[in-house]
Amino acid sequence: MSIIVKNISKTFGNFKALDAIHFQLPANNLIALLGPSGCGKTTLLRIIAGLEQADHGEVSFQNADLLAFPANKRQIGLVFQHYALFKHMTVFDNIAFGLKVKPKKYRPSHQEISKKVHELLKLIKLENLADRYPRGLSGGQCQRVALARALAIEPRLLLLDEPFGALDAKVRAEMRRWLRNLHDTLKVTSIFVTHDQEEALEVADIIIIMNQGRIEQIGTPDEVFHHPANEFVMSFLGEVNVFHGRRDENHPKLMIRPHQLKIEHAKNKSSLQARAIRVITAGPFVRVELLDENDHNSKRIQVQMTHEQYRSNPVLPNSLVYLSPKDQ
Amino acid sequence: MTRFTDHMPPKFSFKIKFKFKFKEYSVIPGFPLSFSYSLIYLALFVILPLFVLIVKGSELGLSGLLREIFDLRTLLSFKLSLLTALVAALTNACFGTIVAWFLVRTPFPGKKIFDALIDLPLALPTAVSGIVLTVIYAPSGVIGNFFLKHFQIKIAFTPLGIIVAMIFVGIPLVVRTVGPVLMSMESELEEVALSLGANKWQVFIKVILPTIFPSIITGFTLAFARALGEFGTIIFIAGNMPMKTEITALLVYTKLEQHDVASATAIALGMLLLSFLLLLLINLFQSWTSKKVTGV
Ligand SMILES: Nc1ncnc2c1ncn2[C@@H]1O[C@H](COP(=O)(O)OP(=O)(O)OP(=O)(O)O)[C@@H](O)[C@H]1O
Ligand SMILES: [Mg+2]
Repeated sequence: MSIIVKNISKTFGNFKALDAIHFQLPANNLIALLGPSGCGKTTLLRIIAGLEQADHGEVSFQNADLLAFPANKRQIGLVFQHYALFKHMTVFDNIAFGLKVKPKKYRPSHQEISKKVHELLKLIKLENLADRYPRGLSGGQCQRVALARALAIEPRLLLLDEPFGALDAKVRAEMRRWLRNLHDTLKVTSIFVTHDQEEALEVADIIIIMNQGRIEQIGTPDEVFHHPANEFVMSFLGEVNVFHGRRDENHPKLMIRPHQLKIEHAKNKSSLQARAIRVITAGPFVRVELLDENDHNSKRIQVQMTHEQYRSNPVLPNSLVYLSPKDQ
Repeated sequence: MTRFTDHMPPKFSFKIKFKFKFKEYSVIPGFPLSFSYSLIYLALFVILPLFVLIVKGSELGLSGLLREIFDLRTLLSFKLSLLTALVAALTNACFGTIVAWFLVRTPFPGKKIFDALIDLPLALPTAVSGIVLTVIYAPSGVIGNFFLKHFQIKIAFTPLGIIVAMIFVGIPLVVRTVGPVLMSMESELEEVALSLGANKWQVFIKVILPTIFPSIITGFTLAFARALGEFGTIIFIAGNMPMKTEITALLVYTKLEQHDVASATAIALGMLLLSFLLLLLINLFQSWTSKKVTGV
């Protein structure tokens, strides 16, 4: 067990931003810190980086007590959502910054710095932009420079706070795949904050799901998606239909994902009568939106199926159908 | 349908032909309008008075003009004014930045009061501040006495006194130009620099200073210009010995008192040219450094 966060708490005034955060995870993983806005993700990251002081608790990495060092001695790489590049420095100088500020004893020679920076430029595929200023870069390029700058100090730990949050959807998808590849080559233990569940599920080795200053669940993407620990995790990790136990108070609430429902044209004993409202066939899956026939005020029910399933059993808008959970 | 001409830059409404072109079509609405207003404004309040000054000064003829300007007393007053203003503006650029830093970054009780105090030198009638400073810095005054006793330095009635007065009137100009820039600086820049291993000093020198440097120069320029133009505060503390502690503004005033309007304007004209050249130089330097900072 290599990164250990023990009982970290943090209050701002009388608001509890972090409440006894506790986890232990092996090194060399890409860890996603996932949760809704305001749940304390940034605060936790800042405490690990030394930019914020925890009220109490411990953070250690490879058996070294991180909280004993000031931020500039922790050797932790940081990447922010809005890049925070030094605007008065070229791309080269931005990346070289961490090497140039080293104490004389440890500072590499000019040639070594230049060699290292060019290696990193190659890694982020921006070799020909070394002399540009950040103003002349696109968002995706800025973020890659910020990442290279963090990697230049050979960080023990890399922390990324919503690194792709300011990018548009397409660049974002590209960047997260690129980050995953990069991680597979470098293997630097990384924690990245996101509130995009798709991003976390696609990229991370391990996901920590937070809510209101607490951890709800920790696990691999597969574990948290297929075996959510609670309702919050279930609803946060993707679309979910909620059925309340009608009239019967002992009857538990049923949560079921759109792809776990099937649509039939004949009634059976456990099925629910619903009316199809919209059928969306554009996309990799067919989506059907339905309304509960017995409860017109409830939220629309979402069902997802493959195009093959749809072709063998088409649903017409406005038709009455029967819904039941697929047996798995 | 939009016509092609809809996308063309609007023509200027007045008929003066400009020799230069604006770099590119500005998307800011009303640009030609605001431009013509700025021109009229400048003409009325800056250029016209200057023009009158030149006309008045040229009454002496070129040789008379040069004779007045290259008079030893005049030259010494130029030297004194420029040097003291330069020293005062440099001091203000340094300490004003520190004060701005303190105001923006350090929370302390009574900050609002301190903040208001900063602007006071601008609001105080110059005669009042002049008298107060003289009282304090004169050999019998609190600070003046201290320096005289312990360092054998006389402040009031020497060039040092002039510098003190100039520092006094210039401080707010630096604090008020640097402060807002410091305030709007992303704290993430400093945090990243720290995480990359920089110590506090390196963060200041390599990250903060380059970012606020253009504003420090602006503050310096304003303080310098103000110091050159200052009259009221200085005459009380300067001693006003011709050739020794006589600033140009006072020399001009003395000439006017002697109803020698022509030589007064001649001297003023000389000072004007010198200051204009200096300010132009500073401005050029500033646009060069701010280009470095914004990285275009
Ligand atoms: N310096 C501060 N002073 C007071 N409250 C703060 C401070 N920093 C954070 N908070 C509060 O702590 C809570 C957690 O903030 P944090 O920035 O960690 O959230 P987050 O999970 O990163 O959210 P987001 O996804 O929106 O970035 C928020 O309610 C925020 O208002
Ligand atoms: Mg955040």
